[in-house]
Amino acid sequence: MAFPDVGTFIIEDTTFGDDVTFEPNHHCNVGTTGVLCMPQYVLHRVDWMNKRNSKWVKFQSENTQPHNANQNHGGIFTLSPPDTILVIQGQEIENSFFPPGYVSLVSSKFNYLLSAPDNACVLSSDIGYGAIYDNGILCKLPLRSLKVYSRGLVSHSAPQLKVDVHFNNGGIDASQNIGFHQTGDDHQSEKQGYSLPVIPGTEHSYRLALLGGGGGGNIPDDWVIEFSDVVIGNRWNIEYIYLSLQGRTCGDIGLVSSHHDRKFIWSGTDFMRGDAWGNHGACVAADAMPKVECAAQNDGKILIGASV
Amino acid sequence: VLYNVRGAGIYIEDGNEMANSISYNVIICNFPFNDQTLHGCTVPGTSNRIADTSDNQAGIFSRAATNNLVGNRSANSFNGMLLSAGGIGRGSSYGKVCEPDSKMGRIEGNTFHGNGRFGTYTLGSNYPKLTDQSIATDGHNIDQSLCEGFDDAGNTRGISAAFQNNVDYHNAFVGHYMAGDLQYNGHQSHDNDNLIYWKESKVSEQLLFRDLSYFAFIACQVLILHCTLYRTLKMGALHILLVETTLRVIWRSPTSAHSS
Repeated sequence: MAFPDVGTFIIEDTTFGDDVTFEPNHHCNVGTTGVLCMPQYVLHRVDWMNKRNSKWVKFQSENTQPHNANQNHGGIFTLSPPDTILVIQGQEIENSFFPPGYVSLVSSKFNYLLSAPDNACVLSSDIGYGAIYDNGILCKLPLRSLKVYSRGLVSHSAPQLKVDVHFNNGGIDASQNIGFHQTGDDHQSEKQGYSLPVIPGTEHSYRLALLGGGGGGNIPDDWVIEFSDVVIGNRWNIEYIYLSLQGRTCGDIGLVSSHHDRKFIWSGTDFMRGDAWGNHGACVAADAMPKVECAAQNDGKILIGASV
Repeated sequence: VLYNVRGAGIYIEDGNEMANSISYNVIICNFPFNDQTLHGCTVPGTSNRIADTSDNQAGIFSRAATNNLVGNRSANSFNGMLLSAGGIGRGSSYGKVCEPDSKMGRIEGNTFHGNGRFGTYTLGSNYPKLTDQSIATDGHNIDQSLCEGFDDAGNTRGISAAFQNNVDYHNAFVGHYMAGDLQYNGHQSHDNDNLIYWKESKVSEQLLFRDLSYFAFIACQVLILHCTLYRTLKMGALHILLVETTLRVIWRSPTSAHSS
């Protein structure tokens, strides 16, 4: 299944049979398609009936660009919040996509997760599931996307993004340098920046800074930050992370909601209309997005034929 | 039943056609695509290379998405159903239609199988929006600023739609190039080379039609237990709609001759 690259896909009440392979970001950064290649695929009451030991997931590993600023190995597979709670409480979900106890999967390239407390994240290859999960990282915690949209950088000189994570409960603090991502060749597209999977919650905090590139490592004020997706809060509950951006403030205490503003960012055709830079996304003064109660409105099922 | 039609089986040409119901038709291409003489049901030299030739011949081809396709079956074409949305209208509607932004009609209960390329297929940018396109405007977009991605406040203009209870099997692909605000509900995709193929998307619509505010992908890839499909059939109202579906094909828009 060749999945697309932006937003959140709730896969619900669905059965997957033998020989199915999930391919995140199928076409992300081929030509000028795709944005920052960190979609969220949320599995809700999914029956994974593929019992074969073939590859269940294939993260992107090929680069079709004339540069190496390509982070298209992103993509997060994670259980829905209700299913996650069941697993964390010790229940086993029958026919789960994940091994018992695990609720999320990302590429092995996001290795900072391996320092999460209590061995919450492991390499699938270390527990005997490497072939199935493309040697990705399995976590006992939910994962969400964090994206930083930059502008004015080019592939050969863009700095890396340094990510530091600090855990409250004695976990080893973790760091990782995230490579710059640029869709298309230099100046061919405005879609560029950084993205990574993050652990939602307030038991830890993330700090982002640039490695070089001038500006003393500060994250420019006009860059746009995006955490997760409002769909999570609309369908279930709003989630939070603590986020610190070097050289910028991020609200009073750095608490970022998954319902933060997202205007002018990406319409599917229009990207970052001028008003977006420095004014929209997270860590700016813009109002949060309105809360929608999906449960009260047909439980999220879309009525068809309403338009004609 | 449409059998041995050269070019597109059912063809919706200009982009301003709206609110037609195309229901319970069977489109059969009776030649293999690799037939060295007939090349499937392709035919060169018509007024629409995409719809008719080996470029993207389709059992059902539509330049506009705002029509109802219900209960149809399309087999052995190059594509089963192609909703093409890359242009600005055609013929007398040229420049008057925002094809990528047309609302989705009711697409329910169709079966696409044995097609050499896609079964369900949307090509171009399919990002349905709430615009002023209507029967009263002859299917034209009068205020084309409504086709832009954002409104003045920065909200995306999308309007969600669902592919409901369709079946795809024995096709090479099922899905889209650039598309968003779409939901698969009760979909059965089995024994296709790519059960879903989707290049680029967007964050789902949040403000317009708030009840449709999340991007659920309620697909039923059923290889083993068909009961999975039934588990997703929760919308009894849809069955009522099915009963009320017309059996006629009504062309509300005068179209230029299609030479297939």
